[in-house]
Amino acid sequence: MAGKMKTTSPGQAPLVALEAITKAYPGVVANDDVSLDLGVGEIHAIVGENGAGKSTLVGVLNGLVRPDSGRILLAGEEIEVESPRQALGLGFGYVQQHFSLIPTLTVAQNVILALRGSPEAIDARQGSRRVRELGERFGLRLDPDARVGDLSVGEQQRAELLKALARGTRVLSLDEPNALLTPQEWIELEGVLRGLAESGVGLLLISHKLDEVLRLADRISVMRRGRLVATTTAREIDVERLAALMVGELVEAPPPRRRTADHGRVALATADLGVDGDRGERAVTAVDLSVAAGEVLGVAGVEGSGQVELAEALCGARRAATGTITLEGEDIGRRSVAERMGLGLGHVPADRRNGGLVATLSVDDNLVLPIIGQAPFTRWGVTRPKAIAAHGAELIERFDVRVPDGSVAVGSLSGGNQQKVVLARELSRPLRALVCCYPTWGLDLHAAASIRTEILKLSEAGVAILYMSVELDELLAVSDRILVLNRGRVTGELDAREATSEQLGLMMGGQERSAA
Amino acid sequence: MGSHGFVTLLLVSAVSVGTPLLYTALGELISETTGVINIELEGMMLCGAFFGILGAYWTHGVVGGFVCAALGGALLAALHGVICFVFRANQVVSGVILNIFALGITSFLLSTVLAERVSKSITHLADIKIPLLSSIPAIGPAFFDQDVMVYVALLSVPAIWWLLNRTSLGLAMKAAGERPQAAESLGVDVGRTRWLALLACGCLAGIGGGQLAIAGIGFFTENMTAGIGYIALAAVIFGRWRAFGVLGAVLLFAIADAFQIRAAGLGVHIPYQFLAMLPYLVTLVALAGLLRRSNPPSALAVNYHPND
Repeated sequence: MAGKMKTTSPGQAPLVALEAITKAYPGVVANDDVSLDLGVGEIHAIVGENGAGKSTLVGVLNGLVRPDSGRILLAGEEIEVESPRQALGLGFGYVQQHFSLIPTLTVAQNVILALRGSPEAIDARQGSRRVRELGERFGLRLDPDARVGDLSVGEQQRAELLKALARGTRVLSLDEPNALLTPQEWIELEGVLRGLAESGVGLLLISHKLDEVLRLADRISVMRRGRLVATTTAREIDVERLAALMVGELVEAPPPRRRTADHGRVALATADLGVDGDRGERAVTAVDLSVAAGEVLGVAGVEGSGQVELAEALCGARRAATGTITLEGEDIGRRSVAERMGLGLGHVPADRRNGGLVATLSVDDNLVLPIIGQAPFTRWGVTRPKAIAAHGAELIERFDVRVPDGSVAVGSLSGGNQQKVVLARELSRPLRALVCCYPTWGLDLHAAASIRTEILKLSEAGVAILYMSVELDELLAVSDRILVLNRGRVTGELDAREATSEQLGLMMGGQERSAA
Repeated sequence: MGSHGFVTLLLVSAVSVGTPLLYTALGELISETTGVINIELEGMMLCGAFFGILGAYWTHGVVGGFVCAALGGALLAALHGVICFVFRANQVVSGVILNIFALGITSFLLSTVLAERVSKSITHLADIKIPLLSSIPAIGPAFFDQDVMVYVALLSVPAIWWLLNRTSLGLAMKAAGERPQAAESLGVDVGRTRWLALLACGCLAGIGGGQLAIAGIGFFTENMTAGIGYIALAAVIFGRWRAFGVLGAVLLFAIADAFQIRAAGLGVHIPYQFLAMLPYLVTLVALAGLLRRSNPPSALAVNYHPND
């Protein structure tokens, strides 16, 4: 990682430069006078918290976002980038966080589309052969005739890269390329990216995984709240100082979790649980799990490995296709969502905007929704606003939700505050078990830490917790045991005190391992 | 034709009923593939029928009639495009409104512009008998002794299949209907692709309406399409968004419709009203049985506005 420096030599114009880019959206300045450049063969990482403006900046370069002001220079010449199409023509490739592939088409068809109208255009009939050759040239293993929708996430990412590279890309932007990959898949991708840089491609890499950035990048720029706060070479900085620059202050490491070997009796358990996904495919197969009172069972897996479906089946939002679910020994598999809630099962859903909250209702109303029919919130079928407001105010205070008052719409809150509202609602009633799905997803470091603390407090109070996450470090920090899912099947279970992220990564990739 | 058996007569009727339906459904297939739904197919057909007759009268020829029919359908398609793509309205709402508009405007123009004398001056399309093939028992007269527009409709099926599955334009169309944002990042001009597909649909549905009026009865009557446009919409769903699937769906509906026309001749004692329901019932049953397994373009009826 040391000693490689390929920044532009003095007097020579950089490959591409963004100058004084400003872009404001209603209520927020996403980019405030940001300038950044990229040399030939350079890997330049942009780090920052969610909402710092990284994706907006890269969107400007790739024609997805029109800036309010500022210039883009390509080899010293000012250019206008008005559309993604035009960006492609200029040699700008962009691998977005959520892939821009057409899932119903094959890999070859997606590449053919990307090359349409360019000098490298491929005839539809000779597609697969040419795409296979391209894959070999860039070291990306892929079956050109496979339907993109059937590929694993890692393979989709390779297809996305191939699509970007097939057009003779000179500047390649990648938005969180490591977010969905197992550690092993990422190491393979790192090799490909290094090879590209050596062949002269300039890479702009957005990431929030600081170790990986430090290992791969030549230079690192830090963004915070729309502004570029620092640009430095990777040699001159370490993880702690990067983190401090990102949040503007030092974040304390969470206190290590006190783990006890003996927990209470089993609270939540499944046997041979099978769940179907949205498209009728079997998303979860033969899962046996059990969580004891006061225990935290982590569930690891890359996105799409069945975590969401498992959580929904446990809570009753999705019907189990096979097997049983028991809460304190009682079979709840056929109970409705409301009945399970009444029995003391809480759920923090993966998608808080669509699944957890009613965005247009006020904070107070959202907090009272599950118990709205009970006294003192309703009398003779008519709601009692004073009682609802008092209930809201108490929870807002207790969970430190940052709002002026409880009457504002939940949709107007930041992600961290929305998640606190979901938690406050779930945790405010007596619980025996809590299923949380990606509870800190999309939150900044501060908000994530406070959410984790609240959940761990519950486990100390004797609630059984099922904690699903794609972040391995987080799972290792909070769990007693970790169950690993790959394509809906359990590939193993590890004691969190002994597990490593490498081990977990291998199992997430499908390698079987018996219980440790 | 008096010497033909029931099956032959049934198929002959089915092909003449099915041809307008096939043009319209193929147009809708092209449009829906790119993500644009046209509830106003019915209106496009009605405009096609009206302007087809008017065109045939003006130009004293069938060719002019069909050109005007296509333009009439395209006119309504263009309105739909302006409402949905420029003013960003909901495609379904726009379609419903345009159907009412088309019914009103053609009825109004019928009473003011198109006098009844027009009907006398329309020349029918001559049938072209294909040697040998037309003498195949049962299917010969139905498929190989028809006017030129029937052959064009049948040949359009493989042509559109080829367009959608064997050309890069077809890939771009599917991409626009499946993931418009992704398609744009692949370099597809989603806006232009959708406009072209929509106008092509308007032309084809207009020709379908023209076929109904010009080749069918030779004049225009108020609301003469009587719901065929909606059946075309259903045929695309039942055909599972595939060219040959659409052909199969159209044949099924056309045979059901032909059956209710011909059943009277069989001497069956079923009230006429029940027979007339048959094609619509078949549509309903076919759709109900298929809804679970159907797989429409993901971005169907979802407007796409870049840089939002």
